[in-house]
Amino acid sequence: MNIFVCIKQVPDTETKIELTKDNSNSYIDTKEIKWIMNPYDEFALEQALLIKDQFKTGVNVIALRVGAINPATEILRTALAMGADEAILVEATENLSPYPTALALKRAIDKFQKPVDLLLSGKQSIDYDNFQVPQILSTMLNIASVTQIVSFNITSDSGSGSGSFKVQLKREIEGGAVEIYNLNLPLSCSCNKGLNTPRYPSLPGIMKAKKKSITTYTLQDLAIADSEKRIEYKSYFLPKEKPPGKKYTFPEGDVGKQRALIEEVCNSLKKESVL
Amino acid sequence: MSNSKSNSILVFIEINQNNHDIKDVSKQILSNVSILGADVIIIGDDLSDENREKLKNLGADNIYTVNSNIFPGSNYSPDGFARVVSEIIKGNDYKFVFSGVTSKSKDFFPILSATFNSAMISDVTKVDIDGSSNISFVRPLFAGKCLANVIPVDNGPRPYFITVRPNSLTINPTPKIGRGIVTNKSPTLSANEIRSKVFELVKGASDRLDLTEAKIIISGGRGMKNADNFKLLHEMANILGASVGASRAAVDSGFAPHSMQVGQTGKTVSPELYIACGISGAIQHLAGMRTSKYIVAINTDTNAPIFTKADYGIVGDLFQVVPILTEILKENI
Ligand SMILES: Cc1cc2nc3c(=O)[nH]c(=O)nc-3n(C[C@H](O)[C@H](O)[C@H](O)COP(=O)(O)OP(=O)(O)OC[C@H]3O[C@@H](n4cnc5c(N)ncnc54)[C@H](O)[C@@H]3O)c2cc1C
Repeated sequence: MNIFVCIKQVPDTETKIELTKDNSNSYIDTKEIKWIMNPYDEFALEQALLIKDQFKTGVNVIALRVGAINPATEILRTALAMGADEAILVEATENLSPYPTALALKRAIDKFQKPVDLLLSGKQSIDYDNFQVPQILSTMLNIASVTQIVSFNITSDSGSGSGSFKVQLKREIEGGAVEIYNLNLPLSCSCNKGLNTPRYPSLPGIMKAKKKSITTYTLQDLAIADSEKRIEYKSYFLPKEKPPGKKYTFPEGDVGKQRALIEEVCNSLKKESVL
Repeated sequence: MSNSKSNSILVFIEINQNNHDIKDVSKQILSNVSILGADVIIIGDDLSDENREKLKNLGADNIYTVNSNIFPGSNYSPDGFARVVSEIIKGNDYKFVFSGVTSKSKDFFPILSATFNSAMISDVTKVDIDGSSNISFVRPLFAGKCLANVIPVDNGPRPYFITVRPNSLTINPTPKIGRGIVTNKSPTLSANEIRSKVFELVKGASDRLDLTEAKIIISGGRGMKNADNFKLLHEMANILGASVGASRAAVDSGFAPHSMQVGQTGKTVSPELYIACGISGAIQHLAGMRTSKYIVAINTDTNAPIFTKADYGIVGDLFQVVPILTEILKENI
């Protein structure tokens, strides 16, 4: 069984976003950014590794990334250190939009010449928050797709990683309701928090990762033209900061004063027609 | 078979399961774009006369309804919905297909866009229509720490698929009145052509609006101390018809399920009123709720960062403040 896992690195969630100064709001300033593996992709990779642990033999995990060599190589090394067997890097700019990203992944998978049994990815990347690539890619690969899964259960008729598989998935929707899917492979799943707890790379894992190879393609290799972009980010800007609000100190002890204060806040909200 | 009189916009409409009204986000979109000529599609949900009239008054010309008994076990399937909507699109000449950001559209709109080899612009918070009917969009990046103006490229494959974040557009009070012609479509696909379909639907514990759609949210953080104390917030929520949210610390401590988490790795919300109780206001939490119209914060620590974003901050013990607040709301609402 080949499990392809889409991985992206994103700015650490603590990052303060600044715009490049040189070219009027042309792009985000990435110089000071600390990169982390997209948190949802960690769940996807962990799920692939859990399947490998479960079946012991016959499972091949391939990490995939479209992005700039630096920092993309580093994140693929992390994936290999966590336990992925192989890695594919498609060299591209960091801000490729979802359609060409999915197309690059599709063509890289074709070129790699291993059939996709399972495609795992994060439900969204926490930088551009597009929530699109897994479903576009699964459509291009012509396989079924389920997004935002919070539970994944796989059984094999042979008990190993080769054979016929049955998968049960759970997807959480509005109001905490849960949809249950019973499916066969091949399949694409995008992963949500709650699915598992990602492992850390082990020291032997890190050593082994150094010997594993990363197959690299360029966008030219995959015949992806600039005209595939379809949408254009014209300009970037920062949100307006709110003017400071009112701050009250809750008076100790005096119930009358306490009530008066809360009533004042409620009346203000009523005046703004929020209550 | 492109239709020369086709409208340029199709809106995917959803109905709330609890009150059978049209979702607010569907109304918000339709009333703002119908000026350009809009049709709508509803899948699975029965269309009441009342809702038909509402859609017409928000500007819908053609109202396509599709019966859902081809999706057994539930009324949803990602590839099934994509297929059904694509059949409507193929008979027309739409430039844009809209939906609110909902768990369905997040799931099947990208599939649709791939079917048409076109692009999707997700989670937009502003739709600008200029004098020559050109549309441009604003969408947040990095959980709202930054925003971008996004446009479709000229001559790109059509239609473009656009999802709009709930509560980011206001309902246009004077929309164009549409023709409101209902057409029932039966999809040409059979049940065995659908690959991923819901086998079973397990209802959530709460029948409140999802956080992403709620007008008022009361959230609790680590300061709530335990799961049981969330009762205080639910009690206030019942009075206000609000939904209850939580910080990640509260979720990770087991006070609340992940479906209630607000923030960069939870839900992004834009209610009219957000009441934060015992939440410090970490950057990842603020990212998920900063676009709330009014923010009230209750926290014992006067230096908590949440106060920098709060319209009304109360420095005090939530276990004293919340009961009094609930009592006053009960008397007044
Ligand atoms: C990758 C990543 C993603 C993250 N994503 C999210 C996310 O999506 N959402 C999110 O919320 N966080 C997220 N976080 C976590 C975030 O950094 C904070 O740890 C978290 O938001 C803190 O939650 P809190 O405010 O409830 O807890 P704390 O920071 O511990 O704050 C508790 C507050 O309660 C106050 N308090 C205590 N007792 C009382 C009382 N009796 N009355 C009133 N006030 C009281 C305290 O003064 C304090 O300010 C993320 C972190 C990382 C690294």
